Amino acid sequence: MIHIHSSVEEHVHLVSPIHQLDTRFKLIGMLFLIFSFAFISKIELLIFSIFVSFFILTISKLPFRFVLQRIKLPGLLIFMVAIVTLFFSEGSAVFHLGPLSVTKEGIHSFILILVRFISIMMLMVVLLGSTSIIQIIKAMRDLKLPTLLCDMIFFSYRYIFELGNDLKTMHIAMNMRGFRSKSILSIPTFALLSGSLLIRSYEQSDRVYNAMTLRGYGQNSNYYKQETSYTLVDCIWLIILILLSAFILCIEFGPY
Amino acid sequence: MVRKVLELENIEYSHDDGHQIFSNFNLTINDGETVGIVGSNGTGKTTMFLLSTGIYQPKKGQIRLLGKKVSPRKFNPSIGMVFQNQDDQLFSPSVYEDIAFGLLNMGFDNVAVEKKASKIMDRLNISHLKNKQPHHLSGGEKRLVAIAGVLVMEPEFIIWDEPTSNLDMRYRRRLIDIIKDSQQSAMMIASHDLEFILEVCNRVILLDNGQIILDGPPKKVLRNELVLSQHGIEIPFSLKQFN
Repeated sequence: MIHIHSSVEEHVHLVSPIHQLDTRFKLIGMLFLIFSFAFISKIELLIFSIFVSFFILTISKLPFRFVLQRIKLPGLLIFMVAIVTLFFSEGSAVFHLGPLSVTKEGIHSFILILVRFISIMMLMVVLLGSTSIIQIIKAMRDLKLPTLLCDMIFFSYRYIFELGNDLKTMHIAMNMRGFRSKSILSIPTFALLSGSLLIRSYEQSDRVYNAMTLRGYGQNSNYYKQETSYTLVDCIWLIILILLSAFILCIEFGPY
Repeated sequence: MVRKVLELENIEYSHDDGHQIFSNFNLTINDGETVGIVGSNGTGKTTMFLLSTGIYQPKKGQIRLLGKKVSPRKFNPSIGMVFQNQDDQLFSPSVYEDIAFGLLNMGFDNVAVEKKASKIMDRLNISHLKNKQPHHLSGGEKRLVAIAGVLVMEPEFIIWDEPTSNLDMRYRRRLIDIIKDSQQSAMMIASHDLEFILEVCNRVILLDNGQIILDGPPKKVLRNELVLSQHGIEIPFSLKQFN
């Protein structure tokens, strides 16, 4: 059998102050900071946000290459959006590139989009890279998020590997029968492959639900109760991040 | 008087596409019986299992477990089922949580759950897998964890759907030992592995087209070469030699 494992979790066993934090506190703190970063529009705060993200990344001891790998693909998409904004924003023109003019507002938006994205993504990568998905889902359950939502996230994570394994096996089987995915003619084959996977996953979800029902799924609301223990460090971390977020929002929206 | 564990009476069932699987189907399984269900693919074995558990609802007829009517899709800890594909059954984040899942739903407190889960893990020799993620286990290990998740609930009646499929000889032997050591009142096992059926069952049913073709002691049923071959089954090698 072919096995696919999560590469996102390859550094969750590192030892760092970030790795050792209680997942619930880490999750809330990071989300506060991420939301405050999303509101930033002032250049000074952008510099501050990237500094904070970089600092958190450094103390998490996650390899910078790992972060770059995670940011690369979504970064490309965001970069394209930022380029469009750079050339098509209205305002006072700074210079011209053929028929296109680059405005002061365009440059501001370009920097804003990219820096905000990098700051937020760095925090996301630290969060996901220092905690297993399972721990995050458990923390979400502890934080009283709807059980159905947590279950859906967990099952998506759990069965994505099954689907990945199926896809890989089917792809190998196709290749062994002479299929080469090089031309545009292979698109219909990929469409059939996707359809087959979709049906398989639908049927499997039915079987999983049957198995869960037989073992009493939904009978006991206490099933998701976890041990609750946290330290002073967890509390200090959370307070610092909430204060940082409040500081950013005060500067952003305050009369300064 | 022998206690009836499972009773299927005049069952009629069709799939959503209208294809009829069972019509006037009757089956009774008594205390102490380990019933092997044999038959070609698509003869209705898994459908019969899902009807027995209450997952599927018959169009007509009654299903009773230990004398009580089986309610559709209602949790009944007296019945357990080990699914053909263990990946359908292992949905929890860790092996321990998967084994504990049923117990917690039955209302046991954490201390009792821990005790029962540890006991079953020791019995099946899978304690070392306790904190592992089920989807990272080998096929044999997954099967043992799936079995543990059912056995720990101590159901009176267990259904095993193709339990030896994809198992190597070592895990197959462990499975046979587990089934032989089981304390359940009755069991029903579907398998194409007829040597396995011969070893663990004391009653065998040949099923085809939703009808019981043969029903009796394993050696008698599985020696009936003529009828078996008419329904796409070969007699087991060990019996062939002495036929």
